Amino acid sequence: MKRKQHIEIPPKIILLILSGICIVFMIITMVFSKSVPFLNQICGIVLVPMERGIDSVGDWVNDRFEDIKESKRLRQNNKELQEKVDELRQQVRSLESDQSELDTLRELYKLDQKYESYSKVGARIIATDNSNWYNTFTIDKGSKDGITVDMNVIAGDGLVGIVYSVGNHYAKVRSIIDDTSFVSAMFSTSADNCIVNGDLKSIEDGFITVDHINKDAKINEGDELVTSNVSSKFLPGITIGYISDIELDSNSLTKSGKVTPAVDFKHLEEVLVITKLKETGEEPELTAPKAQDDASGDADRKNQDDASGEAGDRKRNDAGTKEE
Amino acid sequence: MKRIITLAVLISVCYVLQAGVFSFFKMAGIAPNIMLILVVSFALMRGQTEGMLIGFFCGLVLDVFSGDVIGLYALFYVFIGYINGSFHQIFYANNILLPLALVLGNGICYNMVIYICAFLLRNKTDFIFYFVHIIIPDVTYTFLVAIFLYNIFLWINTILERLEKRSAA
Repeated sequence: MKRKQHIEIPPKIILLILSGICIVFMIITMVFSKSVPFLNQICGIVLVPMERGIDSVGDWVNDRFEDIKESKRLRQNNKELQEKVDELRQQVRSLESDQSELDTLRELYKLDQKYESYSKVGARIIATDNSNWYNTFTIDKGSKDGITVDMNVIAGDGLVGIVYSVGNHYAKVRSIIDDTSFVSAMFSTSADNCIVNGDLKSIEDGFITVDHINKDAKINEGDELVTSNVSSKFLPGITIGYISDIELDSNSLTKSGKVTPAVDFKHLEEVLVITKLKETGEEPELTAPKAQDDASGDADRKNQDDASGEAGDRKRNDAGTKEE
Repeated sequence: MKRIITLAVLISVCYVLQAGVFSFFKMAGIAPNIMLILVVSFALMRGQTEGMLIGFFCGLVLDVFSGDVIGLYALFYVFIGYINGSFHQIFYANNILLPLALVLGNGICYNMVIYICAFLLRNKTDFIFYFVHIIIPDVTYTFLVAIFLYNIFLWINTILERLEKRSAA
């Protein structure tokens, strides 16, 4: 250490140099609004395999503990579930007849295309956020697996979040419970638009917040919230959660409330990434890398989309630019 | 050279620990800040220059994986390295109180800066809530982990210094 000291530069100069480098990086990322690519790749090559390894070891240990805990509960559950299966079978039969009726009706209205099932890619969560202030996580699929920024991430039936940065073999997802997350939503019953915000404060009690609901909206506690048709990044009709505690805001023009997310964010392990980007009709180049499943979409449908896209744009401008 | 490789491995391991392992053992939804312990420990043991360099690379790794703006965490950690490095003059290997006090102080400052930059400026003014629910658990957990980790870092550093002395002689 001492023999080195006399050739070393004084710490103040180093502080200046390093701060300068940091500021240059910051300016680069702000100006080009994306991360420095070579840094991404270096870290991706070194750290992602390590994370994956650790994750699988952790999972294994976790699984063994869970096995012991679960086996008792499962036996009991099994009995109850068997009874439910019989009950549900009957329901399915009646629903099947309803479904066929629905299909014919949808065909009449040519709406079936709109509700088509999106093609998805399964991914595993390999790391969570680095600080306790944000709710973001890393998944083990990246651009080489066809993931791009702004793809929607779901788990089960509910919306989890959106991809906000991509490496070759990993992608970062911002969940809807993150404090900086905004999702344009609507009520599945009344189609009233609103904004769902993540909130670090209320997620402690298992809620996120919703606001900008029209005061005349006909909504009830427990109504389902889905992603809105006019959202610029989220595909329509994905369940977000269920509303409660609806209150009139102090401005007497809008209402706000709490949302219980449909997804259990505390126990997420695997998620599905929808490999279809929202078509907004604004930026055609955005839709270029979307999955090939769309190629089969017929011309009729494209016309429809364009028409609804224009209407949507106008609406969105009214709704405000907050939404992510 | 040995030092550079060791430190590179240490930074990677710490990042993986922080993002991967400790998120399995989250207490009350809170994970400890291992990168902070690493930077504080080495800045204290080795002085400002090395503290800053380690801080810079730790911050860069965090930035690349989590930040929207590359360089923000790096700048943060460079300053942490610089400030803690100035305590190098009063560093003794067998004094564990100083590093622990520094981890505690740095943890509070670090979280306060994040709160002010990322939350207060967005008009989230309920400071007491964030202090009780995020900052105190974070700092406490980090402090407890630091008791073990600091000794490991100290041991690694002692071995490295011994090796360097031998090759110099």
